[in-house]
Amino acid sequence: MHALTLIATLAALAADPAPAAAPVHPPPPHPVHPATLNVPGINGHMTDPTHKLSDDAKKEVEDRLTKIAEDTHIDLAGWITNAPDDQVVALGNEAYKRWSIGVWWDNGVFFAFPAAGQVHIIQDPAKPELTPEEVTKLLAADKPSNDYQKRIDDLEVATRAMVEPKTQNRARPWGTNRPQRANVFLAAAAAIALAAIALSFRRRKPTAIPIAPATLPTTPDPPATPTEPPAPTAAP
Amino acid sequence: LQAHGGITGLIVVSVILRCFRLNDWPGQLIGDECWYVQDARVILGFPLANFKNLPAHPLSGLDPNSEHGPLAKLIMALFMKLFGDNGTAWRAPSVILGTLGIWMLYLIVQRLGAGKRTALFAAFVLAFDNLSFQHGRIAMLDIYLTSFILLGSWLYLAEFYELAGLAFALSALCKINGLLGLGAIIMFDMMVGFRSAWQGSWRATLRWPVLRPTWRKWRPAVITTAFFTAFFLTMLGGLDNYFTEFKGPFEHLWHMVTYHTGLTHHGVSTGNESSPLQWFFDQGTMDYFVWTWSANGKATHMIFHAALNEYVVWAAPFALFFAGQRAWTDSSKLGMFALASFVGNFGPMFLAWAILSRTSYIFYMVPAVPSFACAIALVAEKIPRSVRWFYSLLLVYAFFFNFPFRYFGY
Repeated sequence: MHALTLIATLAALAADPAPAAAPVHPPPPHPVHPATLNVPGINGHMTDPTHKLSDDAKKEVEDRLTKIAEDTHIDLAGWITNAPDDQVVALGNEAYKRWSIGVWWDNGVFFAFPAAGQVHIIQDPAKPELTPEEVTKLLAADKPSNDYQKRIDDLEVATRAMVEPKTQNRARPWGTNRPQRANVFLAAAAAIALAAIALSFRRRKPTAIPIAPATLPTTPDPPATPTEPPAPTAAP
Repeated sequence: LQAHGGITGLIVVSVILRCFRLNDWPGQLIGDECWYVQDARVILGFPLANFKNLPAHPLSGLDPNSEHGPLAKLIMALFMKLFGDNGTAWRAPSVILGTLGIWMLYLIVQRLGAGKRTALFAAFVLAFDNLSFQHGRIAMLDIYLTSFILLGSWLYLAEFYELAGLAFALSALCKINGLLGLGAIIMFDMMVGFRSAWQGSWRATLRWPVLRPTWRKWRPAVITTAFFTAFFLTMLGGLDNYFTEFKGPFEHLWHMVTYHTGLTHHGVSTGNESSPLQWFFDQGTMDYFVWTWSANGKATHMIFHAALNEYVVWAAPFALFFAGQRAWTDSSKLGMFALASFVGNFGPMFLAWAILSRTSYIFYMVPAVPSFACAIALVAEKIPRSVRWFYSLLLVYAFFFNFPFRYFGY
């Protein structure tokens, strides 16, 4: 019975070779499994695998983004992708993680450019550096009709203006691990050091370094004189 | 000045040479500065300007280089806090400590009963050995280690036993090998005690009444060790709780021991690694830094080459044999010190390489160089003045030949 069904199906396909309409799949829900995302290797602050920036423009962008990171401790980075707009957020999130954006710095802001359309701004959701209002302003500043260098410059200037005031007086960590416990140890060390100083100097006062005879005149030792035998005592 | 003119002049020359082009090239890190300066930046919360050798947890404010004690990096961080994030600031402590080491060796040799001329010659050999010189002007840990060991040795010989313990502890807080310095000075004391107790034969000397331990004999070693242990553990505990993730000194000590015993390499040395035997043949040298630039179509290379002065390392084995002979025949304390210092500081490094296949680098030789200087100075006492001058000239020639900031135009 099954064999007859199979033969009938094959015959029907042979009679009508036109392919059936492909089933319509809904777009994959976000996040897409990371293994399926094609994220290239990082190449500086602005990764541009398709070379949409000229060499000079790329260098200039790198210098400026490096300066921002040094001045503000915020890692501004980006990726000019060739991906359609609806995939860029997933790709950008994966690149943010794989490329350790912001890990070496206080925080990170990542610009993911689609092949066409407006930039997407990716941040660490646990500690976003930019507020939603600031993100909206940045998106408004991005004009997809401009060339990439102009777009990056505009975003860089606007982001720097937002980030710099927040970071200038940000407290830096300094020996904050367990200060109370540390002080107990250091107090003991100070007591030991004081005891060492007191004991060393009480037991032994520093003596002058012996002067070598080469530089100072020395007086020869007096010749040894034989000891005289004791005078005989008178016999009682 | 008449009494101390020689050592004063030597120290002035040493400081000038160590400060010459100290900040070359601005922002660049030489040798293992790429670890320690970056660590100091993490501790200070400064930006990590160099993207090579990025330390772990760079935003923690804690010392990421937990395989060594934190003291040397904290000293660097202090200078960087005071004078800014630049080469002069992070290298200045090495210049100060390297020069202090030369002065300490001068005092040690005198304290051991040698004349001023011998002391000056030993200080001269140390000042003009290239490896000591290079480490005396870059931000690595070995000059901290060596100078604090020399300070501890001088304090011990001057009978400031408690303070000597503190100095050895400071050394070990910079790099755990400071412990070897304490071992070396105790070994020296044992040599002196054994030689003075010599009864004409081993059998007679090793008999119980002669070598029985008495408080008078052992007091210096016991006091120094006690203060070393107490100060080292409490200071390490304090610094750890401020600047590392360790809660106590034993936890950190265990980490250091397991880390360092795990650094092994089997087979022929590769890259910058070298075996301790190679160092005596002036091999195993490495370039700490190479910088190339072009102007008018001509490339210029600047090389910071780490190497011992050939005339120090080639003379060292013979001088150490001579020091051993003098120690035995004349009871020369300088000879005993040279021998003990060499065995104590170099011996464990050699054994670690030979038995555990521990990875080793030429800069592990830095703490042994003062022992070479003492032994060579002992030889210099017995050779004609003309030969001594000739040797000195060779030493200076090799020093400038190996000078770290020489430019080569190709």
